Amino acid sequence: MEVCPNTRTGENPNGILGQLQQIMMDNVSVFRNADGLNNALKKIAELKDRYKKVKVVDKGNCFNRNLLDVLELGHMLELAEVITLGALKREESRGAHYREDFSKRDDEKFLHHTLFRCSGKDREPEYFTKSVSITRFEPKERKY
Amino acid sequence: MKCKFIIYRFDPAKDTAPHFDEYEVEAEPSDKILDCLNKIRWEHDPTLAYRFSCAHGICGSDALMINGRVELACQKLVMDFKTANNFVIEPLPFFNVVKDLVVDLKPFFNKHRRIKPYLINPDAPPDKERLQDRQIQEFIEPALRCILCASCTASCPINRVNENYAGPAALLRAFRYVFDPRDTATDERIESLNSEDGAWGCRTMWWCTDVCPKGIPVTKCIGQIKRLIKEKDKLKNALGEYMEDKNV
Repeated sequence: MEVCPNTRTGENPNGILGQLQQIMMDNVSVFRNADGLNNALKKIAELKDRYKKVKVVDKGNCFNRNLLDVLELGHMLELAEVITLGALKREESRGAHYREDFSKRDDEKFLHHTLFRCSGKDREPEYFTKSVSITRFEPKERKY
Repeated sequence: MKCKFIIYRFDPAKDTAPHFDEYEVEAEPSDKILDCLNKIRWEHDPTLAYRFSCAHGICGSDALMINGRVELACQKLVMDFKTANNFVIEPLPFFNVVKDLVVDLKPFFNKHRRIKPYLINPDAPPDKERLQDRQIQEFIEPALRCILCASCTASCPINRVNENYAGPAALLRAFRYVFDPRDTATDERIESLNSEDGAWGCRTMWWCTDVCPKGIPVTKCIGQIKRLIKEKDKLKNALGEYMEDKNV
């Protein structure tokens, strides 16, 4: 219960969860563009703010679904932010990531893994990349 | 469309006895029962405890008693029930309740472990894989569909009178290994299943087959174990008689 102190008096997690689902569905599905992604980032930031005051009604320590919901929502918000940031950085189209504003694959700039680290005090995601080791399957253009 | 849910509630920290709470939910006929439970948790009472994970009948977490029948909450839709949109949700029978709809499945998994649910073969593994005969694969395939949701074991009447009985789920898994030629412990397995706590505990009541959400013919599979035990017995007896004759 220490993660979610009793002093929080805000809303239930489900409202934020529903809105997060809608934002991600509308802006960060397979087809993406800079406008939508930036819009999503802004809205996720608002939800993260609201999340700080989210309330845990169930104070019990036996199968506390409510606490689990709140913890999961926190992780979902962080993940949603990182997914959106990654999609914004990757100004190309590859596999299930299709940028309407950059419809071609760009191996020169983006043949790497996109990674984020949230190690700082404020847990701000920090962008870095890792090279790809190509083994059996070479990256190829999608022709279907 | 309005649905009425009457749900079994018990919080060991607060309650001395279980009670039922009533909730009204707005649901579509095509909504799953699990969707309705989620709605209740989100809109009415966040303290309602129940297990679920994949929500698509793969993980086997949300077996519940729905209107008096054991079902997976994620596989049953509102329109599957002819109860005028009234639902009574209870935890799985037979097991002890931990909280609300969550039961303690330790006894279930202990029974499962007891039948050694893994391949026993002391030979060094070959380079690629241990090949399986296609026909045998087809024969044991139903047992591979088991998701360990405990519906069968919770419904089995024998399980309630003999707590040492392995129960349908464990026997089904045993069936899978007993008939797998890649497993070399067949005789020991048969030996341990040849008792009232093993295959002979089954009185062929078909409840397990009836409730199985994956449509596995559990009772028939247990029957195959019984048949194998009998055949091995016959073989042993014949061999015994032959040896006796020889001695005489």
